[in-house]
Amino acid sequence: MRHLVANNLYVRLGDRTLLNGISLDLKSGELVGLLGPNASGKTTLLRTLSNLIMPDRGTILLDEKSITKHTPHERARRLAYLEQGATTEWPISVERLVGLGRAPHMGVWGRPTAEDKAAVIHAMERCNVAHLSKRAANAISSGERARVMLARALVTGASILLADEPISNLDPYHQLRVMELIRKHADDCGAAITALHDLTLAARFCDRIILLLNGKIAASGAPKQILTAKNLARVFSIDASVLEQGGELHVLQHTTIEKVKARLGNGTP
Amino acid sequence: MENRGGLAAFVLAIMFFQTIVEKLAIAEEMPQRIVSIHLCADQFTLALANRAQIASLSYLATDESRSYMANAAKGIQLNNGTAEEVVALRPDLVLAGFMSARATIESLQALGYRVLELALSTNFDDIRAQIQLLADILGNPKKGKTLIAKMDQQLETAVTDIYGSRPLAAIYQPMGFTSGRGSLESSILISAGFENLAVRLKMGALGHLPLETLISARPSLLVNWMGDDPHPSLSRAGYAHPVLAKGPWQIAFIPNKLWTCGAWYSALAVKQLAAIRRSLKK
Amino acid sequence: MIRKTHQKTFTLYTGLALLVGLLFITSMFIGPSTLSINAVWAALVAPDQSPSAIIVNQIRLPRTILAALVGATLGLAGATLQGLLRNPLAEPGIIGASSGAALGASLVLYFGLAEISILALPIAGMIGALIAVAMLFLLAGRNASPLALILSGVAISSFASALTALAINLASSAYAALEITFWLMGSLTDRSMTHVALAAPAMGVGWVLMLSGARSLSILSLGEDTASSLGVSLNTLRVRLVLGIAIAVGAAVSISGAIGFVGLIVPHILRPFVGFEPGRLLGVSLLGGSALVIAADIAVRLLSTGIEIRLGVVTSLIGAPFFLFLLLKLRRGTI
Repeated sequence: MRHLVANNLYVRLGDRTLLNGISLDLKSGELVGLLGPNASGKTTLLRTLSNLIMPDRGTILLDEKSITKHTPHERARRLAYLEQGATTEWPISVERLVGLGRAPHMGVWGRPTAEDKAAVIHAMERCNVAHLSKRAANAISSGERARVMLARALVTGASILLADEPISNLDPYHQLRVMELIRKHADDCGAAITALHDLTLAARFCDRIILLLNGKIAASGAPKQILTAKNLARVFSIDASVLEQGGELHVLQHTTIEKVKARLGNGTP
Repeated sequence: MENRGGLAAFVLAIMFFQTIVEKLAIAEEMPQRIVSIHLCADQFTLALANRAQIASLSYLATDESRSYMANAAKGIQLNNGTAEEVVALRPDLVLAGFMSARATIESLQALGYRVLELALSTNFDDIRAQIQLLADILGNPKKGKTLIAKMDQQLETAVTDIYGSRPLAAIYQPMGFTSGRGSLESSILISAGFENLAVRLKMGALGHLPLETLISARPSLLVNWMGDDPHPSLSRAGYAHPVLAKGPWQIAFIPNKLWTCGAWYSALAVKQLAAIRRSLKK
Repeated sequence: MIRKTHQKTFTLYTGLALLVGLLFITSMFIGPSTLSINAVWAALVAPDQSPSAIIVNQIRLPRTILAALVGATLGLAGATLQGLLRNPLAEPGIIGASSGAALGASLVLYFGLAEISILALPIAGMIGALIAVAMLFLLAGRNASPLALILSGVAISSFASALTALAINLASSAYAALEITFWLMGSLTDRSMTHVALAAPAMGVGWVLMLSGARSLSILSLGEDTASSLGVSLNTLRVRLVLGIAIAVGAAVSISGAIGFVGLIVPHILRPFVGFEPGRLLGVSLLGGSALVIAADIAVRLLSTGIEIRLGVVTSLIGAPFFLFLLLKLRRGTI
């Protein structure tokens, strides 16, 4: 079943074209990795798919229905957006912060139901932050905070998760934990698109990789097909090799293209 | 016999010349170009000086709501009270009053003009003294005496029927301000035969009466001059408070122009209030 | 876990409600006339036409009710603005809403429109407040830094005050200049039940609009994008809250004049008690604001000997140092 279908998205800001004719779809159980250099349009794409940006051209179908035709609450129940560097300014308790994610299920004057409360506990346990429930959300480590924000996104009960660089400032342990959680979510509940910088982790966890360059899809497919030295050079301007070891792909970044060209120019291989 | 006739003629001639000289002397002392830059000075000038003596009056002189002698002031040149205008009028006497701009008065004095400042009268003794003084200065002492006599007569008839206790009255001005001991309003109220609530409460010339105090004291009459100013304001709106409208008291308006300046016609305010007092008893 | 939080909230509300109730009753006993407890009680329970009954029911009661309502409005509006602008320095006075309301009310009062309809006064206050807040968004933008916010607020207040001064200059009434000076300092002296009937419905409507945004404000603290993705329509929320603030504050100021700093102090004090959650701050700030203004009004009556010390002056004497203290905290980064 195709949860999300985007067709020919164009997004312009002033005289810059941020998205230049992007089409993609998201199937049930899929974890799609969105890769590309800075300013390639990853965040713009995720925000457009979440209906935070209106595309100048193109359509998005959520569950076969145009995304704009859903009410905000319907959309929020189907689609969870985890923004880059999500944080909070106030020392609100972790428990209450996660609880805010239940908003799409509560009316204006509604009080949290037993179901809401259970969902909060469940989400916190899944993300392994239940022991932090009483702590102030701005007084925990960034790794813990990333998991709390993920719990906030998951507690909505949405099957589609759109996450923008959820592991960028995490230590290796937490990077793996968060990717595991997202993978599990895709497997159990629905689907996810994650923007990432870490090429190896993307290869490890994602079913499909989309390479974005200058607002266009440069390549799209299974990690083995997409993550080639040639593609990496073209899209990232880096000289890299891709190794397969024990059934897993490892991307080794060597140096930048300029350095390579300089070496070749000098005659040094 | 011829000598006695000659002597008599001589004495008569001397007396005749003396009176002429006196009149001439007085004529020299009488100011011929009076400029008033103050509303209260306007009133005295119009009442006590000859019209020919008046060079200019303040711009409020013809304002019917503020000037008692407004009608008499018609046709006289008006000024805005600036030193420039005064100098252009070449006065030999300038009359100013309390609240005239200090800077104006000082600059006129520095230029050598004779400036007389009227003090604020707070009771009828003050008023009497002021009328007499101005009548003398303006050269018409007789007119002064006439005014004083008229005023005194009105004051006397106002309280001929006061025997025992006086009814309680309160002056209730916009925003709840009242006038106590040492104010002209209080003197007028008391001269009309009332007891002033502000004096009973030991307030000075300017005080504030909370509504609660009014309700506790239950005066028979509230006096103010709000009726004069028909323009909308908070004070006007304040009078719409149900407590004021439905109180056990009567509310009386006395025209502002009768008691802004302490003058002989302030006795008219006394007369009006006395009439109200008598109607209250019934 | 979650039950304990509810208990805490319940205790907080009960405590504040009790405080308001206590201050309310105390206020009924304070005034220039000394009335015995029996007299006050009798006046409330079995009103007659005696002086003490009139004093209690026509003067002290409307005054106290207005103090409670105006205080509640200012506290709630302050908490709402701070949540909406995500800035602890926001408050109806500082952003110019009160000055705008005062301008609207002055224009209506001194040019005779209040005599056309008694409703003209609070409505003018609301329109004035609305224009001021709209201008704030235009000047400072939606994610204003504290500096931008204060500067825009000062600009709007100054402009509104200048126009008010001009209006008074041109007004026909001789009392205008004196009155407006006193009125702008805020006062509840000698107000009547008419004033209560005039302002209370509008304030109620404003409260409902503001309180309805409580959860959305909490979500907004997670960021605009996250809030949108959780179903919060930002534009609708902003419109709803701004309308609520304008209606309630406009009506309040048109009756009491400008009373500042309540919306700054109350949310700041209560914020730790609600776990710093913007949405939860609204309800308690309503009660806290009520308590503060009733207390200030009691102080006014106790301190004034002869000349009335204005209510706005009392709140400013507490509020201005508090504002400086907050600015220092902000500079040190501990806010």
